[in-house]
Amino acid sequence: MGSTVTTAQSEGRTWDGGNEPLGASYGKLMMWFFIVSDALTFSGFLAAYGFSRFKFIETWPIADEVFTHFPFAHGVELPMYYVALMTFILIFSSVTMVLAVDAGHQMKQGKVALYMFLTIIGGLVFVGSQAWEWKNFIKGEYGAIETKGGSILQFVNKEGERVKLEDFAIKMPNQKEQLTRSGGDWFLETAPVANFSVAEVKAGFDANPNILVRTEIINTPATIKDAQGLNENKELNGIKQKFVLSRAESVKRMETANMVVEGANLRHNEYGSKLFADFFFFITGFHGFHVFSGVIINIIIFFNILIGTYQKRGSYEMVEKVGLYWHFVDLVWVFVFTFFYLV
Amino acid sequence: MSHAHVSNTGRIWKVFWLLSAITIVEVFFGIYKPQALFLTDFLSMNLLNWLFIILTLVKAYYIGLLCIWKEKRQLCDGWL
Repeated sequence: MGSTVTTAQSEGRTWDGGNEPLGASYGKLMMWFFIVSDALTFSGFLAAYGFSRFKFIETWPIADEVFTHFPFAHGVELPMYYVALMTFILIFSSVTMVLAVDAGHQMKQGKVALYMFLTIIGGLVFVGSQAWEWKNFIKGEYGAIETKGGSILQFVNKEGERVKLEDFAIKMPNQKEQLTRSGGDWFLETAPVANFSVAEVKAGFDANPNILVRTEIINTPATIKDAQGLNENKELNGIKQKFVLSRAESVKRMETANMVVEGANLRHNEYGSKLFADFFFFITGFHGFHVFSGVIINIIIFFNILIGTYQKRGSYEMVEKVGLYWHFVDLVWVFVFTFFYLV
Repeated sequence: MSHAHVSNTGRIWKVFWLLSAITIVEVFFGIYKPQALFLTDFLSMNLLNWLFIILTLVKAYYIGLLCIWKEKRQLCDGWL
């Protein structure tokens, strides 16, 4: 068992094995190699995200309008508070991890176990929060219309406040029913049918002259030049806000309606540019998977601490190694937080 | 590398409060979006985004510090 921790006693015998480059043992150095390669992977993802975002910068969704949920606060728009809370939780679990490493250096088994336990709890709360965030993202809030050209039309009232489809769409006798596996041959299934059909949304839109279309295009010096049919009320079209159209232009755009979009999946989303949802699922999903793996590894190490494996080994280096990984995952989240929610 | 097992608890908590404070500042600016920063561009990016990215790099530095602390203690001495 002692062989898993190497101690350098190789002065003057560089190539005889047991050497520790940069003062890091074999195991730790391997963790560093993994972290460097993983960092490159995440950098690649974030760079791809950046490129795609700049390509569609004029129609990219505004994060503040997408992530507005907070537990037990229904119907209240609270941009960012929840992700900020998640960030705190992850930073805090990073700190309990350093404290565990610190206690390990002093060979205090009880303290290492306690801090490791807190780290695991933090990780679980974070993964749970992310699942909740995904649920809200997938379910959607307001619903939108996708046009034949693939762009998203959202709906606002005269004051520019978002309106949900269910608030104005007129229910008609249902024409379309979702086919499930239990309803026909086992291999037959249709995509989920939206709560409203295009005809129902259109009927509601025609019956409510106060409903206006909000396009996915952001008001910038570059886009304002070609913008047509903007609402007469200038206050609805602030700088760096999405364009709100006049009623006449709204009616015209609604003629191109192709499908109703509620929430998000990999092909359609109600927020705007389709790639937005793809990157959101991919990058936060990949990060969440890292946190999840970290929690599993932490749990294994936690039990090893409890049964005294590392106490007998005389070193808590395993805690240090998983600590490196855990800090790295925290570091990645700091960047994801900035580029998905802040910038 | 010194193997004197001195506890760093005080400094660890200091870093925690620092990281939290930076996050609070970021969220504050993210929610209120001061127009002066949001609408002023510098090198084709608005000042608010510059602020976010710089604060992120500061945070990244301190998380790295938490991490490397034990690897190369002497790197951190005198900075905190």
